[in-house]
Amino acid sequence: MFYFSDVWAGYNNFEILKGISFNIEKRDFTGIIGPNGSGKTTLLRTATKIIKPFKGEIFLEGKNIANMPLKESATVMAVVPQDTVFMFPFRVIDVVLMGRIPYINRFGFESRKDLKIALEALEFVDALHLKDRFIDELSGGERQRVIIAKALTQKPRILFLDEPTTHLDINHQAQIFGLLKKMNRVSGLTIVAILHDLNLASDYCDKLILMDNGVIKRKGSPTEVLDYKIIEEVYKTVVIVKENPLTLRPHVFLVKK
Amino acid sequence: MKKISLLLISAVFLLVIACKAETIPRIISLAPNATEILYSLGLGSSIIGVDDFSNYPEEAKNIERLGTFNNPNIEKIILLKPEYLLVNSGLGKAKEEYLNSLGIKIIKVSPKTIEGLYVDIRKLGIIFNKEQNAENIIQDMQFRIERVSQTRRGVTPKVFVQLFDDPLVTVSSFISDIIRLAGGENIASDIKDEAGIFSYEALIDRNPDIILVVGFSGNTSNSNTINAIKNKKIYRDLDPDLILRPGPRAAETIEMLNKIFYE
Amino acid sequence: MNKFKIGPFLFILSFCLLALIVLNIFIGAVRVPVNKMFEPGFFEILKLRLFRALLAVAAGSGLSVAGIILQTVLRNPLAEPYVLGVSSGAGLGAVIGLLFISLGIGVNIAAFIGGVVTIFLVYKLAKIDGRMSPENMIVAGIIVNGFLSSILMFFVSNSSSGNIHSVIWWLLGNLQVYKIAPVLILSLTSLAGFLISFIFSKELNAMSLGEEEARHLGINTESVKIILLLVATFVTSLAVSICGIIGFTGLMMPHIARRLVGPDHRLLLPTSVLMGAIFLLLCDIFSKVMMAPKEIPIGVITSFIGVPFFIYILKKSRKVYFK
Repeated sequence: MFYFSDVWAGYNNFEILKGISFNIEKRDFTGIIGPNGSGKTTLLRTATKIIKPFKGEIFLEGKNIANMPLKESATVMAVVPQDTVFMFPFRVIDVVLMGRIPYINRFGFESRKDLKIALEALEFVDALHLKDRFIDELSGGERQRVIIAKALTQKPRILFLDEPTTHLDINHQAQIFGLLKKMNRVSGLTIVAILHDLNLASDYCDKLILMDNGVIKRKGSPTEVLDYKIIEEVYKTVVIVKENPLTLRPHVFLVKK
Repeated sequence: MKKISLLLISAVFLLVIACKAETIPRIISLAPNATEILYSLGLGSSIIGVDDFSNYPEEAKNIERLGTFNNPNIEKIILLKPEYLLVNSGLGKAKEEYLNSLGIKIIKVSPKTIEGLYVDIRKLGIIFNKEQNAENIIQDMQFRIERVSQTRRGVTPKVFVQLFDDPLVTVSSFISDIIRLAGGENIASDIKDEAGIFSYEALIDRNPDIILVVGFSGNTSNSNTINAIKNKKIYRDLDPDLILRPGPRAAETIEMLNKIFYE
Repeated sequence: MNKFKIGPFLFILSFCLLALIVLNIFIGAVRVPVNKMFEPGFFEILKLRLFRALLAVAAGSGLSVAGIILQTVLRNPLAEPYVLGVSSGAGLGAVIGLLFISLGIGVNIAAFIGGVVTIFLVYKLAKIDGRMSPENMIVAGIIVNGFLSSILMFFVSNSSSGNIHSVIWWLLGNLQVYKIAPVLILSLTSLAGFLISFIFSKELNAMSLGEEEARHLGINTESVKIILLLVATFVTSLAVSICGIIGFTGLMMPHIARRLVGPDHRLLLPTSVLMGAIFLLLCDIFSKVMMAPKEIPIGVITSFIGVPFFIYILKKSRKVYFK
């Protein structure tokens, strides 16, 4: 459904991604993992048309995204960034309604239908009770749910997330991941998420892509990717890998020196 | 028959006189020097408005005040319905065009030399039918100035006019001509504007023999290398309204300065 | 505030605006008795005051629109029409026009050119990687502003006493014009600026979330930025070329309006435009009355009144939105 074909990309003629190729199937929940500086964020930026690749092509549902106008791609893919800084305090419902912008023509305003979609999205993320609150009054977890709701109103077929739970407490983390799982299993949404926490990635994702220095070190199921030898090589630290008894997925444990 | 024709002739005569007498022009003067010139031409009763600084002669103080010379109150001017507006440095294109469109004629009176002053006085004399008065004033001034040039004696002193102490502000243009005719030399005569900030080094370098402190009682330099300081030839409390105004009292100023230069 | 309460609110503001225009017509150095209103002399005075009031409306609204655009596009709540050096550029153009060309309308044209050239300079300086980041634009604007201001001051310090007055008067702001043409031109331009910004309201809302977030919503941020910055520059340069430098309005009005109706540009823009006009009309009354019959330049008043008013608004609770 979405694939990279030998993509090279970076900033200011400096290459960060060096020949990246991978394929995302429909309804996949894919996690992109790797140490800092491995190119995860660059990969996300290239996938979402923020930067143009130097070489290679990216296809979404058979179409080359380079030929897609921005407005069109905004109706197919949505992005949830790590954290959104709000310059001015918007109300939650107004923030969520912004997700409908790609669907409203130049001189138009939101319709009743748009409002319905926004309210449904808020309900899905269990934030409907927050709709008239101001976005800067919310907790980190609440805010992230609102941003996800906004992304959902874009009615995307693929959702990209950049470390969606890094700043959150574990209870909020569990909440967000539960939500993502719901979106993936129940709504059939294809999800690609950059994840910091290897074990969370292992528990929730169907597929993992491990990056290191701009190349894909290994991709496949969590069991295939979270092999202790590979992890040690990429993260340069000693680890052991054991199965999580609850999820039956491999977990990585740090070995103290 | 004779009576009737006599009546007719006197009627016509009176009519002609009445017409001539009717033309009292309505004049606003936005420059103190222009005000003085108008009074000296005998047009004092024609002035319906002046700027805030027109204070000579005494009667001028009773005329309605209109603001400063480059920022007068336009609304008041409109209400006064003048025919002529005398200005010093001009009001800016927009205002002048507008006032012209109301039928007001603007006359600039801003002489840079005594000769220029004569030209302006003559010009005003022609416009307001006071040519003879104008000639009289000019001749009187020329006579007095000629007399000064004949009585002066000695080396031409170098003169510095101090308008303000910090920054050091001096004056030039018209005053340079006045000083020259009084038998001196303005060390700042190469400044082309009416006023300017003078370099302290130039003051020491050009070493004036006489310093005239005009208006603001500012301090003068203490440097004993300057002749004027050394010889204590500093003259204070000179009336700026007399000295700096390019008007009919210029001859008086020249006579006064001549006495100072050669006492 | 939602779309439905905004209607009555804007209606009230418009009413205040009209009331202030009328007030401005009857306040001035000369007392105009109402029963003699139509006599030629008095009527002329009222006509001049009307031009002045209308210019206040045009300038106040235009500067507010420019302020909103700049604060959102540059993502900086301290941005105002002069932050990109446009005021110094226009000021320098006007001074050069005053000193060397001295044609009536030549000054306005020179000021306008000065403003527009400055924005291109700033844009060129700030462009990195084919894209212009708001931070770089602000820094470039500060640099260019400083440079042009010093040239401006050089001219001021060196001009003859006659010219200095016109230059300084112009630098402090002046709303009196003697022809209807500049009023019409600025009004149309401000109106156009408002309409164009209003059409881009959704884009502006999205851009206040961030550059990338706006792109993710399908907005071509580069072209939107360029269009809107050009609009802001045009309006500002024109306003400066006609009225001189009137500060603070473009900075404050967006903030005050935001406190009242929220950050949605569809509500913010019309509110800000009306408030800007009202603000300048109020300031002009002070300008005429405080030291009557002398006038205080309007640029001085906007800062005088502006600062304490702004502090008062900041101190009140952060959000005073009507629900």
